[in-house]
Amino acid sequence: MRLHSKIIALTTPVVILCMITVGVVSFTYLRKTIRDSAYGAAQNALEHTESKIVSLYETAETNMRIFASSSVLTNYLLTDNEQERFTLLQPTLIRLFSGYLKANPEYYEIRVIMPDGFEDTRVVLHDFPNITDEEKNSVYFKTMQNSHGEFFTTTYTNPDNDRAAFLIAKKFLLRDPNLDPITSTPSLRGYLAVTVDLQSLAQYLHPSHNQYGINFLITNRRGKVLFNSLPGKDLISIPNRLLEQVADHTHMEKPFITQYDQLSHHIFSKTIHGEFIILAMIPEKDLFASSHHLGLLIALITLLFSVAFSSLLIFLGRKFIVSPIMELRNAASEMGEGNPDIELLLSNDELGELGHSLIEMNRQLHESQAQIRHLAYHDSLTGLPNRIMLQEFLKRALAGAQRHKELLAVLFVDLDDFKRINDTLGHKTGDDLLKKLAARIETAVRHTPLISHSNLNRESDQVARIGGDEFIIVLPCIERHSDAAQVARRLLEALSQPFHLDEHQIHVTVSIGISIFPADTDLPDELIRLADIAMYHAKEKGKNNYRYYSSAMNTHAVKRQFMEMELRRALEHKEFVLKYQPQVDPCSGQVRGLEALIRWQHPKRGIILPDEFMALAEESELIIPIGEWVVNTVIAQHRVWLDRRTVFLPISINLSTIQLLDANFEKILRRIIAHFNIPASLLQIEITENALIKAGDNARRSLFSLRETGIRICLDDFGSGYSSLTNLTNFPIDKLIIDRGLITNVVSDTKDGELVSAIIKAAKTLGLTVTAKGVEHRDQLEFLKDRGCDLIQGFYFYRPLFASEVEELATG
Amino acid sequence: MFKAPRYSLFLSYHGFAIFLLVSCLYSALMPFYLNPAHASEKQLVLLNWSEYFDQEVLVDFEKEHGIKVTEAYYETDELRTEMLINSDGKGYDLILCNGVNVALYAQKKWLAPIPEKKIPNLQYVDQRWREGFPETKTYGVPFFWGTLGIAYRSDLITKPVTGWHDLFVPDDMLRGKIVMIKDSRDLIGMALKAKGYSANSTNPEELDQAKELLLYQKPFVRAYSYVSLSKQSSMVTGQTMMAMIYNGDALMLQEHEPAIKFVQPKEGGSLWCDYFLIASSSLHKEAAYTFLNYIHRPEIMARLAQYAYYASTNTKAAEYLPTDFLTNPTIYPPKEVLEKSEIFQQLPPRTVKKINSIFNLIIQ
Repeated sequence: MRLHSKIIALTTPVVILCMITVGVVSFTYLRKTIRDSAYGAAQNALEHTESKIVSLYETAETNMRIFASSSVLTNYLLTDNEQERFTLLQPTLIRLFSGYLKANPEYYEIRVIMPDGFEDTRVVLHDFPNITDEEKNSVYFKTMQNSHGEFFTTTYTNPDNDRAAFLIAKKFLLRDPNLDPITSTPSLRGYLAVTVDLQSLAQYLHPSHNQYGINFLITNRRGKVLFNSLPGKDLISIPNRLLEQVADHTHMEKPFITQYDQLSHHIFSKTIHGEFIILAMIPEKDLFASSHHLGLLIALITLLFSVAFSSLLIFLGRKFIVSPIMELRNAASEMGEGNPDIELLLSNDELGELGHSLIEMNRQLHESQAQIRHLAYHDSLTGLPNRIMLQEFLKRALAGAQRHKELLAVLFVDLDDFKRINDTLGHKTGDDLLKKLAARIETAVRHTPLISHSNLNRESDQVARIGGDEFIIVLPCIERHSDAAQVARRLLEALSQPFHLDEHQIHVTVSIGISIFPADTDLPDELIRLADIAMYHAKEKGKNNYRYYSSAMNTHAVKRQFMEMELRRALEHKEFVLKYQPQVDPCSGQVRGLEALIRWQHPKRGIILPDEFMALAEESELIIPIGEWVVNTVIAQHRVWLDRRTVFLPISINLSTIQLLDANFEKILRRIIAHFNIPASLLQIEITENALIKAGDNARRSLFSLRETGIRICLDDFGSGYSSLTNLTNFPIDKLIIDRGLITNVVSDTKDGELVSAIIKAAKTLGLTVTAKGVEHRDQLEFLKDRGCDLIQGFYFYRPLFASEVEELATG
Repeated sequence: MFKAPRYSLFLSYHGFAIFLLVSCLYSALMPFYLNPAHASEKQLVLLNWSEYFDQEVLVDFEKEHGIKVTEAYYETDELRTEMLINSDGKGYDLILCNGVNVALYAQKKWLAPIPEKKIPNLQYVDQRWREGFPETKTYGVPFFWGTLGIAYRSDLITKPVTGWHDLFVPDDMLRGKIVMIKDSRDLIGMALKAKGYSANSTNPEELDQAKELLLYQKPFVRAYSYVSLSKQSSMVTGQTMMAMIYNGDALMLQEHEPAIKFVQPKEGGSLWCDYFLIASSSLHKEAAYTFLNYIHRPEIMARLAQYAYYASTNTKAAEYLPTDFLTNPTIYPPKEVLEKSEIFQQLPPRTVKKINSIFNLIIQ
């Protein structure tokens, strides 16, 4: 997962969580505030209405008392004669009432009602028809008639305009001062009734005041609805249950929550004067509807802020973390591509430190690379250029010399008897010597004044160390051949001085071979090779000198002589080693035997195979001691294995003609067998047919003799050259080894294949074991297996192994 | 007579105040005037319309009989009634009252019967008027009679005004230019006439129609009151272009502005007559008789009639009146007009109630 996505995945949930928390908290708080605000509005409205109603009562009562004390009304009520009353007195009364109505706009009707219910006088401010003058049958009048007390109040629906109204009436009990005696009780003369429109009472309950969807109701004490702030609903009276709840609910500060009209409502109530019930009903869903809006708003804000913050954090994350990291990554890529100088804007933080480290690392990398390059091209010990660099230099120098038609010389410098020195003084001293030697050579070359050359400073000469004690000097742009000799002489002279190493004084000599371009060749590798040959020649001629290459030099002979020396030295210094190639039963896959193969670990040339030196060994008779060494090694090895009880396989040794003819050979062989006390059956001898024939009769005798010891005899390279079947019978042969060459094409060449089949058949007939060497492919294997070959030897199964590897194979 | 300019209101109150003062003084000095026929006889208080009674006649009366007559004023019949109710008929000696209310006042025991023999000049009074209304024969001495019609500015109103219809359904130009008498009978009665009904109708539907008509007219009405009869009258200035007015008063206005014309509405108006009444509480009844006899001297009545531009109820007074006065159709309307006009009757109580209710609705 990308870092960028990780940052997003981290920041976004955190931010969202924070914002949601904030949102939830503020939502809850605001919701509560809204609820409280709604409650406040409801309670406020109720209180205002209550005070309005209360004050209405009070002022009405007060005003009526004032009326009671005015003579106009009392006179009026005391006048029984209607004619008189209406004609003389009523106009004044009407005027009085008009004034009163104008002063109290909540009252829209004022009436004088006679005790019998006749509506004597009726004054209204705005004309609306009077349904009837006779009120005696109205419910309210009857109630009023039966009521006690000076004042009577009721709520009713005014039949004249079908509107809810509130009636306040005062009974007028008067004594006619002109007619009645002082002591008589006042009698009811009439009622003064003021009608108040409930709408005016409900001004505080008007819906425009309230934003919470509060439904206000005014009902009378029996629950009959007088005013409903929601006009759409045709509500006559509130349910009894609600009425009971109102009666029960005494706590004025908090609403009671109940179901009304299938919805949950929060209800505040007030009962006034026992006559009115005012209800403020807040539908719960409306209460929380605005908070729903609020919730949505908060959710929206939360979302916006979350997005904003997340984006901000992501942006910051990118800016301060991801981008620097990307820059570092790009820088690293560039470093990877090898750019030594990386430009990075580094911030003053951990990433900046990382950047610093990267740059430092890059620098060090480049340093290392430079070092490695140096190492690649230079010799670590002496600091001189190595073979690779030399070769490149030589190529370029040659190209240059070719262009400018100049001469070029290659000097091959070889230390004489370095191995001896190394062995005597130890490797450390040897290394020190080489270092000093290299320095001296370099100095000598540089400071050889070449008279013919105008440029005294020969910067372009190259000295290289290409091997253990081998150095090459390239002299580009020399004017004549003799310049090379001059350098060589100078060198010899320089090296004639002894080296002081630790406590020793060492004299060292070198042999130098010189080849010239374009005289000897124009190829760089050739130049070196020819110089090398020249150097051998110099060695042969007594060392501590220099020789120019000439075509007369017999490379082969020189080389051979040299190699002979080397062989001798190899024997002395035990540079030979034996490897064992397993022979495998093709059917079972089991190893049935081993062939011992000699290898020469040349200190300079590495591993040298017997093909390269055995012929020479045979010619120089070094084969004898080498052969003895082989036998010794094999048998000793057997001893070791037997002691360890690890390997019990017969080992085959290759014998040459010379060894066969060597009189001592058998003796030595027996001696060694006896010495190590190994069963002779563990030893086998391989000998080529050619060798056998060359050896002649003597060989036969030797063989028989050897065979008697228990050693098996194998005929090698059968099928190549002179293959005589009679030899098989004449000689004491146990095994047959088919020539490699036949095996190579045994499948592809039908003739070879037929031959091999015949050989195997013949061998089998004669009771001989057949081994095939050089089996590398499966199809060869299958072929041979089919033909009944007994043993298979080759890379298909195993390559030649070290003794330790064989042991591992046998035990593992 | 409806003369109710603003200052007369002031005057009436002023007069009332004077009266109070006088009566206080009078009653304080009562012990000295035990003999009703004595110097206490020298004061009379007359409750009357303003600008109705020639003051010079009062001066002459005082010169001749040594009795001082002071006037107290009322603006409307209803106000007069109110004043009387408030004082329970006390405080006045003479009351000038329209014929309709006499019976009620008598019922209220406010009035003292007037002995015929005490006022010999009653012989000159037209019998018709003496019996014009219930109880007027017993309690009242007729004064003037007249009609109710329309005065208008003929120079400002181009369309001829012929009847109540022009007043109740006016031209748009008359918006806010009309003054109507603030009297329930006059307003509603004439509205009824305009609708073709009797001014004394008791039919509730007819009354409702009258109400509607009056409500319709309301936006055109500048005020429900009586136009001033002085030079500063709104009819003179032209602020009022049409008004409901009594015939004589229109002539008074004409004095100030000749363009003002009076028309007897073709639907017919109302016919009225007012009477002098003596308060039962009066302590100067003898002086009152003297006064009443005095004013009915034909030559005196002629003077009074000319002053007020009204037709007197005294037949002999015609001998002393100029021809142009006697032939003035405004003062003496032709027969056909009189036939169509109605005298207000006392209506049944329930009708009165309704009328009161309607009246209140119109005037507020």
